[in-house]
Amino acid sequence: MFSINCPYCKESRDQNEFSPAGEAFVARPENPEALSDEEWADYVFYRTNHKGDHWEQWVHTSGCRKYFLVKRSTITHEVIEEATFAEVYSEKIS
Amino acid sequence: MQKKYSWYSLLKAGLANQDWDKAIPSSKPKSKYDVIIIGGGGHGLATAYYLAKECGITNVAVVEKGYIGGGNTGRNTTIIRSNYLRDEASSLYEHSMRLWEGLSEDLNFNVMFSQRGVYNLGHTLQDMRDIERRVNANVLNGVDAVVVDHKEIKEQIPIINTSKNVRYPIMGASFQARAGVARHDGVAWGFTRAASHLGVDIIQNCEVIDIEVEGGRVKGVKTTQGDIMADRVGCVSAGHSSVIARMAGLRLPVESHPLQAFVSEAMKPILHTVVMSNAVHGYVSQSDKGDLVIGAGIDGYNSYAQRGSAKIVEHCAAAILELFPIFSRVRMNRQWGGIVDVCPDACPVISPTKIEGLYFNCGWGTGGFKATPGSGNVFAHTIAQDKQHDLAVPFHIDRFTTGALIDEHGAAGVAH
Amino acid sequence: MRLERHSSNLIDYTQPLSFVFNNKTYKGFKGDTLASALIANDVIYYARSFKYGRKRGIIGAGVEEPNALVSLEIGGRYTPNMKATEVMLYNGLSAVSSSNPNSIDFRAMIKPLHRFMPAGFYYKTFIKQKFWSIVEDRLRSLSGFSKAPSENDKDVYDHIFQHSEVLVIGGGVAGMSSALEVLSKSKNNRVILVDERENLGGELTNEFATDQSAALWYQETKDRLLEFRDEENSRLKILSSATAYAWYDHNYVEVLQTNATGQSMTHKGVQLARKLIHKIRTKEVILATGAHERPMLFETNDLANIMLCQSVRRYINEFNVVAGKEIILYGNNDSIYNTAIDLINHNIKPKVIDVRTSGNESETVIQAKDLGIEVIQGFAVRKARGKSRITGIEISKVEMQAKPPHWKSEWRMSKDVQILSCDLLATSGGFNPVVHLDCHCGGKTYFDNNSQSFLPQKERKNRQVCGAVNSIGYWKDAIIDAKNKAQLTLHSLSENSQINPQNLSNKSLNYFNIDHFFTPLEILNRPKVFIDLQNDVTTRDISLSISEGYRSIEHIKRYTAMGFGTDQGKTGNINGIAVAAKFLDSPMSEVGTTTFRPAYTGVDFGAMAGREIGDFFDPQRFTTIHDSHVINGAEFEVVGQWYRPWYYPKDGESMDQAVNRECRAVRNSLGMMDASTLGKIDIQGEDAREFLSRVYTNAWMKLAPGSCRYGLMCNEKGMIIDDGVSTCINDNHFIMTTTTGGAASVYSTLEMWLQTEWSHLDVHLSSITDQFSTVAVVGPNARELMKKLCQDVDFESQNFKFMQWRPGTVCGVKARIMRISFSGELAYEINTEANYGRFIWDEVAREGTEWNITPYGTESMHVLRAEKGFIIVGQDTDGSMTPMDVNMNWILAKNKPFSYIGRRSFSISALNADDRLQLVGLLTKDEQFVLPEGAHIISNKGISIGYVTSSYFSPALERSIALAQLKGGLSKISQTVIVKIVQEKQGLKEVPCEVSSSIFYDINGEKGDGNE
Repeated sequence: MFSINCPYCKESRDQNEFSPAGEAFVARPENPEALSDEEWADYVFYRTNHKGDHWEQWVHTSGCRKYFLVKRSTITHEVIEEATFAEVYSEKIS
Repeated sequence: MQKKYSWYSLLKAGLANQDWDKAIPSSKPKSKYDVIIIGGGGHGLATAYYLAKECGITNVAVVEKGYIGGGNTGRNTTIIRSNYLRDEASSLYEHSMRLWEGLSEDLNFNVMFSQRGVYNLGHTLQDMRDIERRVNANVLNGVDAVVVDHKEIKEQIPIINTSKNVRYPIMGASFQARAGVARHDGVAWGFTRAASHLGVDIIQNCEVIDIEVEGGRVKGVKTTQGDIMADRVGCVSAGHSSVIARMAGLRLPVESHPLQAFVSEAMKPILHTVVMSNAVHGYVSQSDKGDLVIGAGIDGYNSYAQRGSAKIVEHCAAAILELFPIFSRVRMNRQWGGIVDVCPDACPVISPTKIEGLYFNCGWGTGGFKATPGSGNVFAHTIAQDKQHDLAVPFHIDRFTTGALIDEHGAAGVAH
Repeated sequence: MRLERHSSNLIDYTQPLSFVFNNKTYKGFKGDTLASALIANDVIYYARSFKYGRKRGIIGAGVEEPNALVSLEIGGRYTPNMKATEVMLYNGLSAVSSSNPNSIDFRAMIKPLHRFMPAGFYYKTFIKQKFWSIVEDRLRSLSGFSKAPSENDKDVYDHIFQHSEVLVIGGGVAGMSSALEVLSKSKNNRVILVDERENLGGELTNEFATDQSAALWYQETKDRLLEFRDEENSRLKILSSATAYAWYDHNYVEVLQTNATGQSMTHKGVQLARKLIHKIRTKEVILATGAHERPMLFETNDLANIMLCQSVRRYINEFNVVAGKEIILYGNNDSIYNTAIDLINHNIKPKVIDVRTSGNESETVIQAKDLGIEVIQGFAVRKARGKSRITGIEISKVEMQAKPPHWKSEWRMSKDVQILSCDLLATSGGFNPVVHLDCHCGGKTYFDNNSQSFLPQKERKNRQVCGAVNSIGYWKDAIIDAKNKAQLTLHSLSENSQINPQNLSNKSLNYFNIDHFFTPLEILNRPKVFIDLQNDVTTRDISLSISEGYRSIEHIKRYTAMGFGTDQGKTGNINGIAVAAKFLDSPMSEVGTTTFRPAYTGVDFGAMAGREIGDFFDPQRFTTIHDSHVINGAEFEVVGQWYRPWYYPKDGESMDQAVNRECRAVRNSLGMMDASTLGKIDIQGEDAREFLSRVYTNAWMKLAPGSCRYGLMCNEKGMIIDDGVSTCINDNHFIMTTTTGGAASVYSTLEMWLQTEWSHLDVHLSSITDQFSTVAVVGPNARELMKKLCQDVDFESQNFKFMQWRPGTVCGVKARIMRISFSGELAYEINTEANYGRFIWDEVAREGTEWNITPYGTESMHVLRAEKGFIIVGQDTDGSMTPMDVNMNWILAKNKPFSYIGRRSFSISALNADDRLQLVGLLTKDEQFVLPEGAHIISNKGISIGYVTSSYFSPALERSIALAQLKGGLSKISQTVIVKIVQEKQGLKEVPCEVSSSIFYDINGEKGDGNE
């Protein structure tokens, strides 16, 4: 039972308030029609499913309803970081 | 020559200080095999057994990072049924069911396959439509199945609550009489003993740390017990399929999730069949020891830790009480989790890969145990012939590219 | 028997209690457990063992007890498998043995066969499937302990959320001390102190009789804790009779608190929870869970009246009872001497057998000797004598080799045997720290040579261990250890940067300093040396398991069933590991433990579920019109969480009759329907149109304000997931409707796209399903009625066209009126604020009487829409259907610049295969025969080529109609196919049907304008 700090509400709340929303950074291709079937399948179905620290999406379902990012270990379940998309992408760019 | 299990041998052993051969040998790896199977769970062991028995390939190693049967094989709720919706799935599971029916004799090891029947309950009109569709499909496919109404359910399971005044009243169910449960550890051990009898090396505490690929061909594996060469490698490492795949530079359409189960303290027999309800999220049977064996739902997040959320288990307990209110004062004795690899269409991958000689058998999600012999059987043939067994063809990994999915959870009602 | 000198302050002799055990009435006192009261009454046998049905006595005093399982009470308070040691006595208690030791037992009768039935017996027998299926049920009836309950629980359960900075688990000396230290050394930290017993103090109470200072410390510390608890804005919660049974991720601990065992509890007329689960989220955990004693091993060590030493001590001190008169204490550590001294103080003279040879004795040993206790050092018990209860023991001299040449030969036993008589043997083989909880969530153990036990890993984030679980045996050192750990805890909370740990005394390892744990092979190879008393696992079973290749400790456990019982091997498992290590010839540290999992002790299913059963199992959703439906006698269908009227039977009508009447009313005059459950999503922002274009397959850029449009939604796989009508309020404002069941998932999917991919779009979503109520007025006379209800809207057909909406005032209430139809008839949907729903419904019904307006439910709705070939997502599609499969190519926009969700998948090969299942109509040749839904269409080879998704008798057409998915169906229109009915109940037959268009009624759409 995780305790997740919603980066919007800025409060640690019980996992029951949130829903997991899949691996992060699975970006929708800009031009799907230009992709091969393999590339499209990779986007729709294939996942990294990383063992270790991994970024994933959560949504504060019973709270602010915002989607945000969580860096969490899939081995120990330890949450390393919670962040908004804006925060992570600005870091990525800088 | 291994000593056969029989009344005679039991009597003899009883008089002579229980002198038995090793059922589980402690092998050390040789440097080269014809086939390496990664993963000493039920499916991997079954693959090795059928390779040796049916394909004439006995120079086989099963490498297991822990102890055999220590993954999902030894931590599931042991339900066996073949009443799947889609023809492709039901054919595979029915193939497995037929193997189950002769498995103890085949292995000379009682895996305690107990055909006490499985009810899949329906609680809404749409559940019942789905059940009708599935049962009719099963009958056409030669899989035994009937639709029963709530009165018939009550007659067979007097302790079940069929009141209309509950949140999700039971409207009916599908029933498969040949379905049931088996002793999970026994399955792993039985296959191990039989496979090693045929010459297969079972190597425990041997973790694969890399897969050797050269020029698009698999060469062997690096393990904690040294390098082992083989031209063909079958990966059957449920829970860790993606990790093994990455060693060969592959990605898979699977995600790993925790799935939980729990058992009660042992009681005198009260529930003689298996009851599953997808709508309320719980399934239950009573083991021969007397404990209720209960399967809960899956957690939505990815995990490689064998534990899940309390909420899932508590909700499952509530679901069981909806069905069986008399269990309220029964106590949960032990709870655990496994890691299941889930495919997007709730069907497994039994398939060659882009790398020659490297095969994957994964993505069984919550329903792998029941397929153990069937999965091992078709996978063995797939590896031996380097060509998918007929029943495995629909489960090729390319289906995610072509779109030929076998969407079981689309309508199956029950995906377990 | 009850001791003459009453020293316990836990037993209240002024409150005698009467209770029944195995149909005999006994007396006890308040403060007794069922176990202590039975010991006071000289009861010897409590139950039988699992496999061999052996008669068993009691060995423990707490949750570690493996033998004394009882069933409590009857009827709605019947509780199976209670340990007699955990049941607090109350007046009128009634219990029976889970497995009666006094009646004939089949398992015990076949005793001569037991030698043929070692571990793994069943894997080797009944190998023929047919044979197994016959014998299995017979075998089942022998297994299990208590009978299952037969009545519904009369009690209720509850959950409570708790938060703390520090959770102290264990209320013994270490727990009390650390809690107090945290409270007194910090100002703001909240502490929860949890203990499984009714009173704080744990094993410390045992010291009171011999150590005045212990009693003083206890009283003072308890008083100070109670002060903290009772002060204003208290920072301390003490949960007693409360067991922390599971530790989950991120320091979330679940604690089961028991208010009583079998009594009915009401307070001011309200039924109180029998048990509570405290769901505690804490920043720090201090683990002070103590240790369990483990027994010594010898032949027939399972006879009644062989107990754990510390338990005997607890029975004496806490309950003033003892189970024998001629007592021998046997073990490898000082705890046997402490118990001996306590016995002497009660004028019972025990003998002590210590496997340790003389020399290097501790103060305790010397003290015991000084008190005149007969101490036999350097001897071991070979065997307990007696049939079912102990009458004596056989002992032999032992020798330890200081430096054994080889690991396994450190013991030597002489062949000479002495016999001593006794009626109670108490043993102590050392102590197992209660590490269970610490390991539930990733904590590891390590093997400690001093104590020959597994200890919790030393460092763990946000967790400290102190006291006996940290192998500190002497109570004064436990206090020091606890205070040190409290400091570290405060440090971790950044409360206190200074750490001044105090040193422990040289007595700190008291009880934990043992070298002589193992038993020689001469003993281990004997039969009937029991490791797991509940499951009858012996040392020979372990040896057999290993010789057969089951060498991993997990295999040994699973092969022998060691530790599978209700006690989870609390006393036996470590001995089992030690024995396995011996047979494997490898150190215990390498053998390791089996995995510790929740629950530490059993948790009632009822407690796990809490209040979330019955009506609270899942939310029930009702529209604001619901009461009216109830008054109208509606039958309800559950859709998602909603209760929707299914049909409204009148005067004993069957469902078919009611549906027939409702459908005719709609087609011929006027019907009304509560459509409030459809999901409604308010979409606002400059890019609302663009957004709709992306998530729906069709075009939205040109939909004018005042208009509505049907949309079909797919996922990226190209499969239909939802449909519904969206309304353009203005260029920046739309209202989307979704299916009833799909509302929540559509809403979150839309949010997901918006927030994760398209955050640059100016679009805002709100779920407004609950905010609006929708009454659909449907039928040729709908316009006439609407004119009556609403004067400020022009309902004339050319001015208010199909798929348009108008704001208006209906019966004085502001409304949005949509002219949309799911039946093909002229229809208006009146949307008002939800609270007006019932009012509008009633007004519509009243004003509509002149057209005999008829409320109809989902079943009629299904018939009416099927007549028009409108799909129901989830019934006619199943998550594997594309828009092309349901013959809706017309809804796929070709020229949208943005590749809408799912579009790319439409071009992959399998989605364009000729033999895909496609939605068609089916007309049975026998017009009166209604196909069963779910029946399959077969090819001439008899295999399935499709199935019936929807099937009804159409009152309008006076014949049956059906929708079906058929392989390549769209190219088979007008062909004849066979639907095969394969269930006997439905009457086996093959039904010829014509494949038709899925539109059956008003094919040219002439009815949509109603009566002119």
